[in-house]
Amino acid sequence: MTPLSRAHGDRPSTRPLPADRRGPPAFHVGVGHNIGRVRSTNEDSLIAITALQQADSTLPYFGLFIVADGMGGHELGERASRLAAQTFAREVMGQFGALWLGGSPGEEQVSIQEMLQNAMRKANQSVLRHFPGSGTTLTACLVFTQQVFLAHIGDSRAYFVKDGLHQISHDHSLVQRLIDVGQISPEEATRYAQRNVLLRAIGQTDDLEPEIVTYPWEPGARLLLCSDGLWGAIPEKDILDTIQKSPTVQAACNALVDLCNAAGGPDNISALLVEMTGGE
Amino acid sequence: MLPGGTTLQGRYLIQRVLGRGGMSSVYQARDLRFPNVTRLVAVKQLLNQSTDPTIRRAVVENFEREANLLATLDHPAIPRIFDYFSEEERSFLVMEFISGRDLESILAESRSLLPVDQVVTWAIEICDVLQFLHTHNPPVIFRDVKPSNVMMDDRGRVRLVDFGIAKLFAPDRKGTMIGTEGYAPPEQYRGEAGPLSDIYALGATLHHLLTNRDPRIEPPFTWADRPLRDLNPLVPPSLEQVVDQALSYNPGDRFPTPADMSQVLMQVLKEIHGESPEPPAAGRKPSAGIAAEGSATPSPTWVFDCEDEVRGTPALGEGMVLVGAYDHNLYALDFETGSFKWKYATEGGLPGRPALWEDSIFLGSEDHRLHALSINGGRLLWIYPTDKPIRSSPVIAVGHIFVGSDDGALHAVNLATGRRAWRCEVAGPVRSTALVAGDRVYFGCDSGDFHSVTLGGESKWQFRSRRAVVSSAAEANGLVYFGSVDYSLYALDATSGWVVWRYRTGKSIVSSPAVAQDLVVFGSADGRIYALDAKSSKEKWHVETDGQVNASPLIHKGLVYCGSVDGHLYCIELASGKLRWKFATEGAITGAPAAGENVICFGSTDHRVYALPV
Repeated sequence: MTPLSRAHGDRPSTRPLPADRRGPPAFHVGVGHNIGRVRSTNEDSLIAITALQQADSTLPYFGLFIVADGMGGHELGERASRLAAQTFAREVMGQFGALWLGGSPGEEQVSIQEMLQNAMRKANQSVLRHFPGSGTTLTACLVFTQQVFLAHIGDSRAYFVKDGLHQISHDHSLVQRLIDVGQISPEEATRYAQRNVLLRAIGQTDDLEPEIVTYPWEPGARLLLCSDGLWGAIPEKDILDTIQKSPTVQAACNALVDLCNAAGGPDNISALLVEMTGGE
Repeated sequence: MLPGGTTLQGRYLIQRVLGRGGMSSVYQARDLRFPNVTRLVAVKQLLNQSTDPTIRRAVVENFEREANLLATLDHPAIPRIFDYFSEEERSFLVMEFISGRDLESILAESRSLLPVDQVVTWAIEICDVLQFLHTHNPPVIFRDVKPSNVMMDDRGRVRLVDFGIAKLFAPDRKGTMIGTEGYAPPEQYRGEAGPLSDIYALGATLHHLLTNRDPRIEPPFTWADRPLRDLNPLVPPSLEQVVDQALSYNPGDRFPTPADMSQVLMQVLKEIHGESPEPPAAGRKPSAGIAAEGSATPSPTWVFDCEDEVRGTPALGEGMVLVGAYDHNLYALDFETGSFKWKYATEGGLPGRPALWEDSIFLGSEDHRLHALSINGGRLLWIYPTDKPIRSSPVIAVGHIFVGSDDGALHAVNLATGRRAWRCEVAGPVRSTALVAGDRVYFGCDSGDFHSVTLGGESKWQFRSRRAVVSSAAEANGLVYFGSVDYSLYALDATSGWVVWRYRTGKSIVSSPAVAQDLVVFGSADGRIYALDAKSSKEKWHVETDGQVNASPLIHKGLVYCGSVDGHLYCIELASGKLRWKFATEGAITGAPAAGENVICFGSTDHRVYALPV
């Protein structure tokens, strides 16, 4: 057999590989989790799971990152966000985790987006049953093979951070809806009185309409998940600056928390900042 | 909850429950003060469930204030208030009993869309009562105009019911969630309802009544996604304008008073009843695909007749159009004029698309062979044999040609020498065209498997769909997209082969998807051309044709060109799904078009090759 090699002047029907990133893949996760300066409880929940295997498989690594911002008085918010995040993670780990460790998908392979949809639904059912009257946002990113699979509902956010801050989740808030239909501008939105009003969240109704989307992870980009206690307290420019100037992802998260508190810390502050090095 | 048989104030005998809301329950009761006749009343009980005494008191005061106000309102459409009292910590309102049905029930029970003039008549009556309320001293804002709050009594008169009595106020905390109310205007979500909010809500009510689309289950403020006349062609443009104006986001853009709106509605009613008749919009289809006015179907620059069906896709190069026909010939035509230059005969049909590389042309034939020709005159350079007919199109990359054959293998052939580099055996005929992306080759086969192999022919992963994969794959952002005869379009992660999403259509997919601007476009045997969001699989638009869409689309300069078995080539705007034109041929179109700078070429089973200016 003649080994094929790249000929010069290839026609555009071949595409070059993404930038060379040899070496074992590793996730570096920075965590920011602070009550802020106004609230009396922290109703945000965070989960970060990373896994690596070097076993000649096509799936050497994966990561699962979740931020949930709960609401409802008397500690309900805290319990709702924890229950939603854990239920979601348990579902994903049960199905995806098993397959990742060499399980067989079987004849009827459920698509990844369907699996995430089902996990969201289970999280919703749990919260409706155990903590009626409460609610929570849920923003989750499942990462593997250089793809980010986003499952999201509410107004917590997911961003890619590279040369700028690129928001990949869509806020399910009244304010965002008004911007989308052109009734108010993004500038007016920052002064809008009812910024907290959500149109979609976990624990509200039986049928859930989460956003499930897949994005390629650009080499060199970082992934940021955060609650509105972060993105609502300081401008995006400051978030970007802080991340770019910090030596590690943890230092960046610490600095972001400090910045939010310096700006008044009106809400709980949560952030997961993920960097990937190595990998193929 | 009051049991039947309870008597309140020694006078009102509770008979049955009429309705229950979040804030109140309404009962039918008999007024015993008139023992010799059956005088019915409606008794509304306030539900005051808060445990906080401050809140309880505030709610009762609110209820009393509203009751006193209602007692002063005198209008035929407003139910009269007879009595108000508190008994054992509970508060009650006694009102006129209305026998009839509310508009939501009438809509639900109607099998077809409601008559437009009927709805307009109701709207005029509602405007009348709103005008009364707004000009009352003090002005009253109804705040809850919707079909279930408007009743038609037994005499056919409109009655407004359920005056937002005793609204429970929500605690002002983060996460105050207002569900998708649908009829409420933006300012009402901010707690700033005014008289103009009632006008918006009336517009929303009319939209619902005219289209039977409940705004409560749609994302709020997305009226533009559901234009009135698209959903109900019998609505005259003048009425659509009225509803659109009432639904303006900016209160200042709506009708200043209900009387103003009523006046215009009366004109609309006259028009409907024949004073200036507006013909119903004929021939409009609700789905995307309305031909833009003035968009003319192009006339062909040239047409060439072959001796048999042209099922494949043409290739363009060196000023020529190269296309295979079922008469076994490869035709070389002049690109500008369509004039015949030469033809090359094989011994089998040519369903695929020729591949071009520098001065050479490569094509597979049902005579089992891959033919390599010179573009000058069609002189044969070499032949590569396989064991069965070739029905796929060859693809050129890294100095090799990759072509699938019905012999159950993907063959890799050296471009210069015509010698085999490798062959990858799979479980069935390979009729799909290979995709080379990154350092992998992707292709499907008739057994339903979809393969990813290295450039050296080594298998990396394989995915099983339930039926044949004849469609070729397209790749974008690390995902590969292809269709299967199992009705689904698949998006797989290119590295691992895992299914990211699948989208089911009504019938087989043999069409190969094209990807551009984050949209995946393809056809299905269910007769539709689809555009899905590549990242989330949500359908962006689809266009109905009158035959199976087995051909593959071409995306060129923001437009989608795709043929159907119904004989037409469709031209659709990629972003919006709007149909620009459709060009008729006399036979099914099964191949994709090829694009030059200002021309597209395609073949039809009517034996012809067409060149259209674009």
